[in-house]
Amino acid sequence: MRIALEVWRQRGPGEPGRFVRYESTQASPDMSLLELLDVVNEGLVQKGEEPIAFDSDCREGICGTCGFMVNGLAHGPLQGAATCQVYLRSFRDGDTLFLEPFRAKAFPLIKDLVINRSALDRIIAAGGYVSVNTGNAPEANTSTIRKDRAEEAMDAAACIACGACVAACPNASAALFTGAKITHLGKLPEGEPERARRALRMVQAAAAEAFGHCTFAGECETACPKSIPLQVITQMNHDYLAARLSGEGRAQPRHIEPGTPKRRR
Amino acid sequence: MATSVELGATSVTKKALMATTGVVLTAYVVLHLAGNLLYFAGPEALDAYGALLHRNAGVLWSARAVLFASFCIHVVLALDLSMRRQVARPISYGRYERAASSLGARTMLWTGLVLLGFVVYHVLHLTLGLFHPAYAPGRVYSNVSVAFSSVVPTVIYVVSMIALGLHVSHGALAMTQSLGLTLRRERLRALRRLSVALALIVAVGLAAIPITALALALTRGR
Repeated sequence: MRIALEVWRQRGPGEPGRFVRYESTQASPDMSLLELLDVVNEGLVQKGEEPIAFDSDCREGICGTCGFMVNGLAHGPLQGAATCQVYLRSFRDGDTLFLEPFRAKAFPLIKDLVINRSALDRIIAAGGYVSVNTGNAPEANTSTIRKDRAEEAMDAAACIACGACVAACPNASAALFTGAKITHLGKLPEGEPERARRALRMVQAAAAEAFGHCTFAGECETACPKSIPLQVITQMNHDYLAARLSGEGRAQPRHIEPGTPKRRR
Repeated sequence: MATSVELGATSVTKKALMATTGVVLTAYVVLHLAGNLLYFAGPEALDAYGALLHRNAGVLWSARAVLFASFCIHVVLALDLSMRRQVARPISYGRYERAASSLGARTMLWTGLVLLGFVVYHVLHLTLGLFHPAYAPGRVYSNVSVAFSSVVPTVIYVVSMIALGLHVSHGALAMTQSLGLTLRRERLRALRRLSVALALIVAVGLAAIPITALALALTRGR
C-alpha cells in the first residue's frame, strides 16, 4: 500500500512551519496511522534527520493524548475514534494524507504535531470537580440516581480532554469540553450543590483562555472520539444563564461582631 | 471553591443576547409574513392592513423602537463575535473540512450581511419610498405592484429571501440552544426539522409576493 503524508513540520513555537511530503511504500492496511508515522520516523532517524514529533500514549483511544488533523478532520475520518484508532484500511492506495496540528490560540504549538493543551486543565481547575470530604468511601446506595440521569452524566463523563472539539470548531470554541464537565457533574447529586458556581467559573475560565464562541454548527460532536452529544453545550448555556440570572456567587458571609452596640436602622 | 465570580460579558452571555434579539426578529418576520400575505387577498385587504398598523402612532413607534434596538444589538454582537474567530484561531488550517455544519450554519455571517443590506434597502424602498417610481403613502398594494413591475428589485428581494431562509434555518435552531432550552436529544431532532420548515415557509411566502407582482405586471404589459 502506498501512502503519502504531507506533515506539518515546525521546529518550535516561534519558528516558521510548512508541510513536508513523506512517501511510504511500507504501509499495510492493518497498520495504524500512528504506526505509519513510527515507520517514517525510523527512516528519518536512520538518515540522520529530525523525526516527526507527535503525541500518543495508550494507542487504544482512551487516554486523550494523541490527536491531530487528518485531511482537515480532527482525529481523521472515523466517527467515535481517536487518531490512534485510525487504520490505513480507512484510506485508499495512493492517497495523500495532510497531517496538521490542532490549531487554536489556546493550544500553543510546541513542535510539529505536538500542542500544549493545558488550557483545558485550567478550565477543569476552575470548577470541574466536586468538593467532598475525603475519608472512607460512602455507602454506595446512600444517594440514588435515576437511570436516565446516570446515563446522561456518563455520556458526558466520557470526555478524554483530547481537544478535538476545539480543533474541529470553526470558532475554536471549547464549549463541548466545558459543557461535558458541567453536565457530567451537574447531573449527579454530588455535583448539584456547586452546579451554578461551576458553570460560572468554568465558562469564564474558558473565555479567559481565549477560546471562541459556540455557533452550534455541530462540528465538535462529529469530531469527538467519545461522541459526546451537543446537548452538553445547551446544558452549559442553561446552567450559566440560570446562575447569572439568580445572582449566584453574590451572597457573601455576613460578619457581625458580637458584643458591639446594637445597630439602629 | 472560591466564591468570587468575575463579571463581564462572556460569549455565552453575548450569544444569549443574540438569541433573545433573534427571537424578537423571527417573531417579527413571521408576523410580517402573515400581514403581507394579505397581498393575495387584494388591494382593499392590504391597504386596510396598512392603515390598521398606522392607526396608533404610539404602538407603531414602540414596535419600531424594539425592532430597531433588537436589530442593532443582533448585528453588533454578530460582528463582535465573528471578529473574535480570528483571535481564537490566529493561524488557520492548511486543510479544514466542515463535516457536520448545515448550509445555513456555514453561511450565517454572509446571509446576515446580505440581510443587513436588504433591511436598509427595504425600508428606504417600501417604507420611505426612495428608489420607487411612484410611491404614494398608504396605498400599499399599488406601491408593491409598481415596485415589482421591474426585474431588478424583484431579483434583489428574492435573493434576500433565500438568504433569510438560510439564516432562519440555522438561527431558529441555534437560538434555542443559546438560551439553554433544548436539553433533550429527541426534542433537538424535532427542532432541527421545525426550523427548516419555518425557514421554508418564511422564505417562500415572502418571495412569492414580488414574484407574483412581477408576473402580473409582465402578463398585463403583454
